Amino acid sequence: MVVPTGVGCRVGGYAGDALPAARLLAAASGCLITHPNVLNAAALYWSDPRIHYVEGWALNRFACGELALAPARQQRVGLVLDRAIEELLRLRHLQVAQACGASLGLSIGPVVTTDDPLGVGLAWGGSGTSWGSLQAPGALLRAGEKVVEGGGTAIAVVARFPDDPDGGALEAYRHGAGVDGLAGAEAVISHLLSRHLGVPCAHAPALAPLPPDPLLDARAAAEELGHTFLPCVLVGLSRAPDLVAAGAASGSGGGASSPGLLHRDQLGAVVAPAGALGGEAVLACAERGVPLIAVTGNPCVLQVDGAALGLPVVEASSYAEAAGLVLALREGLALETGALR
Amino acid sequence: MKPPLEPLELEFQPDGGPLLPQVRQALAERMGPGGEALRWAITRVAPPTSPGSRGRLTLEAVVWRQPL
Repeated sequence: MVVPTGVGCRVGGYAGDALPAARLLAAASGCLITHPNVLNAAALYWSDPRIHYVEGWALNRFACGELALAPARQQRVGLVLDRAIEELLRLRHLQVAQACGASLGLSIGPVVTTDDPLGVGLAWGGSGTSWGSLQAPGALLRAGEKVVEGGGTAIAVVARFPDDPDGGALEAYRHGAGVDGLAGAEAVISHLLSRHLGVPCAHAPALAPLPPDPLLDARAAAEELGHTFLPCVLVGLSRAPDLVAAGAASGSGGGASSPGLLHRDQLGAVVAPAGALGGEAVLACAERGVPLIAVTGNPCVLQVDGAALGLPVVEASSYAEAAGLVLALREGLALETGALR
Repeated sequence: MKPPLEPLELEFQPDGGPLLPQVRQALAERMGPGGEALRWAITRVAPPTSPGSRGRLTLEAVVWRQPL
């Protein structure tokens, strides 16, 4: 299941608001691989052994056959904190980590502070999607290396984000419209670290609290329940699958058919918003003949659909319909069967 | 010296074959040696100019250049 981040999806464009759809698809499929943008709801999360939490860069590499996934019972989640985070905000994040250890039994540590402020910048692409950059990417990579050297097997990154760079966009987001202006930069941060270290990674932005808004949209509300967005990241990473190079996976150590190892050849379907089919994971799957279920009921700012790209798709008007199609595929039913449509 | 992370927008005209290798080639040609598309997506598709052909594609990417 893919819901690209920073493209204004009606479902999944806010605070983990595609989680109900992910739970349904997990039940229909028995095994769902998806990414943090779908599952992260700040202080809220849902842990399901059928759902595999895979950062977007790693998900792309998996879809392209370069990585396999090895489900893990437990990860030791190291924490990278941006030096730019103010002391009180930093304390809030450290206390989340302590709470996840004490109340959920997660294995957390080490905690590493970057040697320079990361300097997160936010921007918009020509299509209206969000993206971003770092002034000091080397500081991020060095901190990640220290986490791994210190025994961390997964990495949660917290970077200080600008609080309100574009008031209009933030207000629209909180009211359930527009594009998440932070999302593109978050993806850049986690992609960079995943690519560099090859371990499960995810990101949470550090932000000053916002004043309560009586018009807050329910889909964005999860981000305003607590002081940080970190709990869902720690929980998601705590059981994220290990990333295994496909060459290693097919070598003498066990092979792609090793029990429990997930490989792209096992994918039964990919489910994505109908207008956002132009990403690497979706294209890699579709061009290998994996059934592509395009959800027309999840519009976004893009209009890159199957017809525009010349890709065969099976349209679903909603995630409920998509789940039915997944179940039909799992049962070996022909999707064109009149009784099903 | 280019910054380590920078946005990139490019257009190209695909043929009727698989898109992924064409996208990768277009990105590689535009980024040059040492550049890697950390994140990319096709963000716009122009209407095709003839029946059965594909429309011109716009790609948006974030390019990572490993510091020397």
